[in-house]
Amino acid sequence: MQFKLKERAAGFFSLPKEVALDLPLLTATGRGELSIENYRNLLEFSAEKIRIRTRDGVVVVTGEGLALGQITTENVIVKGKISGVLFHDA
Amino acid sequence: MMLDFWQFTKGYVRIEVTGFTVERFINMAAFRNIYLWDVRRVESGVQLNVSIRGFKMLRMCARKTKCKTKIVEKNGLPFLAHRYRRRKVFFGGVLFFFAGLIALSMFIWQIEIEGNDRISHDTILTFLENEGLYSGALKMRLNDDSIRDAILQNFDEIIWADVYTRGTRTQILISEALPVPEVFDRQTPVHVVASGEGLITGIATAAGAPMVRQNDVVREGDMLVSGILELDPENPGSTLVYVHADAEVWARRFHSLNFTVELTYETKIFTGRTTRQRTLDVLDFRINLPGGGNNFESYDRITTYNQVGARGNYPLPVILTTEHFSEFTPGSRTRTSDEARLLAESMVTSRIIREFDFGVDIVSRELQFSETDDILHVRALITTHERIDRQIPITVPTPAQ
Repeated sequence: MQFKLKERAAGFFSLPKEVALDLPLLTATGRGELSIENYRNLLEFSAEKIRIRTRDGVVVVTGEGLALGQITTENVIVKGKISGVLFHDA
Repeated sequence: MMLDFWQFTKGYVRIEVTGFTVERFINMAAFRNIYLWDVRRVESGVQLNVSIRGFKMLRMCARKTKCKTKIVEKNGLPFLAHRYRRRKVFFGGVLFFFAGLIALSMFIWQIEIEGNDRISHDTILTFLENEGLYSGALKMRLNDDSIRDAILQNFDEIIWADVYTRGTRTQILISEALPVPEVFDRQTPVHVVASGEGLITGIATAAGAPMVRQNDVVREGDMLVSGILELDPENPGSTLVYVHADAEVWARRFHSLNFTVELTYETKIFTGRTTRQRTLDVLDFRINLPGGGNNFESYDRITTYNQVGARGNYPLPVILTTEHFSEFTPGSRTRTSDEARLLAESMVTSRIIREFDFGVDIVSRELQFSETDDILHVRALITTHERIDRQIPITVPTPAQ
C-alpha cells in the first residue's frame, strides 16, 4: 500500500519516478552500451555476465567482451556486445 | 574526448587487481567516490584505469578487500614531466619561443601604403613616424582611427583614408583628390618683353602689337609685343585697348663661361690599406661589432646600411651599418695641358647641361685657352638659340572719375 501511495504522489507532482521511488533507470544505446543509474552494488563481473543489485531486484546483463565503461556511485555503464538484459528477484 | 584529455593532464594509471573479492573491491572504490573507467576482466582479475589521486585512495580499499593491485601502465602529463625533468633548457627554450612570439607581436613591423600616386611613400612614412607609427612601434600606443584622422588633417589632398591593423601589419589605404587644373590667366593685360639680349630669329605673335622684326637686336627688357593697341589705327590718339599680349619670340644669344683648370692639383693617393668598422642598430640602441677601428689620419669613408628583412615583407628595425675606410695620403699630381684641355671640354659640357634649361638649343661652342705658369684659363663662347619672350603686367591707368 505504502508503495502505491508514494507512486501516486510522484505521478501527481510529476516527479521522475526513478528518483522518487529509488528505482534503477536503464538507458541502452544500441547493443553496445547500457547505462544503469541508481544501482545498489556490483554482484558479479565477468566478460560474459554482469550482475548488479538494484532496489528492485537484480539486473543480469549477458553478452561477449563485456566491460564497465565507467563506474561511479550513481551509475554504471556496461560496454561490449550485449545479448541479454534480465531482471531477477533478489 | 575532453574527458580523456583531462585525465591525461591530471595523469592516470592502469592497474590490475587480483584476489577473490574483486567485485567488493570495485564496489568499495565506487562507494568512496573514486572514479574508475575502462574496467575489463582479465584471467587473473580485473584491469581498470584510475587517476593518480584515486589510486592512492584505492590502496586502502585493496587492503580491506584483501586484493593485490599492480600498476600495468602509467600515462599522463605528471609522468612525462617527471621523466623529462632534467630537460629544463629544452622547456626553457619552448617557453622563450612563445614569450618571444608574444613579445614580438606586440609591435607593428610592416606598414603598407596603397592608393597614393602624387604623394610619395616617404612623405607619408615620415609623417607617420611623427605620429608614432613606425616599424617597431609598440601597438598599445597606437590607435587606427586617430592616425587616420591625423592623415586626413595633415594632407589636404588626401580626401579619404583607412588605417587597418591586423596582427603586426598596418595597412593604410588613401585616395587623393583630383589635381587642381592649372589656370592660365588670359585676362590681365600684359606686354611681352625680352628676357635677355640677342638677335631675333623668329617671332610668332598670338596677341598684341609686335614691335620688332626678324634680325633686330634687342637688349634685356626691350618691348617685343605691346599690349596696348589703338582702337582705330588710322587716327592716332583714339581710345586705347589693353590686351593680354602673347607671342613666341626666338633669338640667337651669346654666352661665355670662364673657369680655370689647375695643372698640378691636390689629389688622394690611396695606400690600399683599408679597415672596416661594423655596428648593429637594434631599435634604439647600438652595438659596436668587434674588428676594424680606424686610425688613419686621412681616409675615405664609405658607409653602407642594410636592414634585416628590408627586401622581404617584414622589415625589422635591425640595421647593420658597415663603414669602409680606405686610407690615402694627400699628394699632388700634374696634368699635361692636353689632359687639362680634355677635362675643360667635359667641364663645359656638364655646365651647359646644368645651367641651360631643356628648351635651349646649343648652336655652337668654342673654347679659348690661355696658360699661365700652373693654371689653364678657359673661356667658352656658346651661341644658343632660345626663346626670349617674357610677359610683364601693364599698369593700366585707371580712368579719372
